[in-house]
Amino acid sequence: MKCLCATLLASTVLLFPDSRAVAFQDSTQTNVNSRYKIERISVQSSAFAVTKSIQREFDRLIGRPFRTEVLDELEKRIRAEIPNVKVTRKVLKGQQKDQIAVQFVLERSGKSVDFNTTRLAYHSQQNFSFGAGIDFKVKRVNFSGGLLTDNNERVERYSGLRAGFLTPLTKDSRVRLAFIAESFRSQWHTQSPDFQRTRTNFEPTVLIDILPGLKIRSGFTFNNLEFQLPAARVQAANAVTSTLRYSKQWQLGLAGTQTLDAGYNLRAAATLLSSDFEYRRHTGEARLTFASGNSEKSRSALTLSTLFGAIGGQAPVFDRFVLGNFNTLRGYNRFEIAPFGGDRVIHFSADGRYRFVRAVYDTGTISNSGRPKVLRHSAGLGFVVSGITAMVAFPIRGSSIEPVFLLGMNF
Amino acid sequence: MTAAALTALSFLLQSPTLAQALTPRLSDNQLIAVAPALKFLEGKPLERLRNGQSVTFDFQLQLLDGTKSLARSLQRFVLSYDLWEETFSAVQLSQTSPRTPVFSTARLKAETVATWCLGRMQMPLPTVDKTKPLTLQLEIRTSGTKLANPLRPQGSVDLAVLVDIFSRPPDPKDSRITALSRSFTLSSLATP
Repeated sequence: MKCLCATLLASTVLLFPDSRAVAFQDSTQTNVNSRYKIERISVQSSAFAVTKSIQREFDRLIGRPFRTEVLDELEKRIRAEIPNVKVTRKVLKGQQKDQIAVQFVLERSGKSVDFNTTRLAYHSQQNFSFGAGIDFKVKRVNFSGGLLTDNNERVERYSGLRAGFLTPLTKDSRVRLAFIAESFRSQWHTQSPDFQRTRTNFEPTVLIDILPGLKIRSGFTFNNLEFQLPAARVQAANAVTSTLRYSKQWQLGLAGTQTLDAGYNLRAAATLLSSDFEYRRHTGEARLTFASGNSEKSRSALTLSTLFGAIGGQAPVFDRFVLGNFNTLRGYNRFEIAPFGGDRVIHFSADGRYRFVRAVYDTGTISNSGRPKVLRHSAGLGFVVSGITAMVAFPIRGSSIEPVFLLGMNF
Repeated sequence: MTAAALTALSFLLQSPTLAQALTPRLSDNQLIAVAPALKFLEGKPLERLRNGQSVTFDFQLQLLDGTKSLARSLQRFVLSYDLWEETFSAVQLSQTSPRTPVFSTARLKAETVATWCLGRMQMPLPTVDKTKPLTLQLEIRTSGTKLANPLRPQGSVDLAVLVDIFSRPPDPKDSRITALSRSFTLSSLATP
């Protein structure tokens, strides 16, 4: 607890922006139009709409002096909130004398093919994880595919292919259809009849944008597991899946932004779906980020995140919870904590960054139903350069401490 | 072919735009350039100006003896376009106090902006043989990326920054305008 308080205090101090970061010199001296007032701000688009938060910002700026830097920030926010959109700003004379009209034109981004590295990470005790893929668009349908070898998210290392598509039901529809197909070969740190050799998964889902920032995803997941021990057999883990997710960003004046991202996921496997496993897996997670500055690259940030989950019934090992990876209990090896995964998990993390220095504190517990819970703590310190973090993390405990070296992006 | 002519030719070949006429003048023992026909407000920078944005232009005026630079003046100007009056406004930034405008003007027509900016660029006369053929070379660059507020740190200007800008090849995204004078001698220049 002391560690948690110290981390929070340190991160809060680090988050406080220095005077240069918030120093704001407007464009009154260099733009002659700064003497005019904004008459109206509008959006021209048949496919996109701005969020209520941005609309409120539009309303707030009407009647205020024209400032290019304020409009630049607004443009950045629109880009951040609406992916794959090309934003153009038009500034025109208003209808009233000495007033200015601003128009944001939103169009679909012309980018059609995108190669990307979805995963790149090295853990000194768990080795590499790597993923690369391609995204492309044909008319309204977004296709993606890629190769992946992951030794981080699940109990096993899984390597193979993933492909899928996402398409709106109709043009400008809030309802989208998605389909994912995966085929993985599993590698385990030990042998057990519970460990599958290969796994294939087909996942048809429907995504609905209920409200701005609030989305629901529902569908099915059909997993086919091939086991080798004690004799070759194939079993199915077919489930209904449903995820509710909420994301929202608030502008904290000129000083920074606050972002909330929260979600709840349920996977319910039943014999009704011809599943050999019957279980319900509940997962909840939330992340709150405070970032200084208005720019995309903030100077400092503090992220508080939590994860909790419970499994009722007998879930296959690949669907059980793990702690001790790139995002949780950094400093531990996940095989040391729960080599077969767990069916109860609670985790909390505080992650602070100031310029290129990053510090994390994690605490959490993983267990099986009816077994005693052990609360573990860990901490890490590292550097971030261009989104790649190099960190040394260690468990906080009385017995011997073996630091873990982590290197990767987006963790 | 003289060295000055070779320089002029190589400069023309390097330049993405046609060289435009530049005339040297003497004013209070300072060398200045006059270019009444110079049009540097065009293309994307002009579009951005007409869209209410400020655009930063970096000017370099050099006195050349063949390929050798005898004197040089470097300045940064920030222009904006008055949407209601349909005229241009210009601000010259200080090199000693980077975020401070030193001179500014408003209500300029497009064709007089270059004259005003060039009028802010003076070079002391170098000690050189007054009968030696020399040329004046003007280069104007503007960044392809917009500077929201040229007075903020990323838009700050000092001599070292400008020297660095003009010592590297122009970025393809940057807009670059060049102008060159005919060969002249200092003795041929009359004080107006």
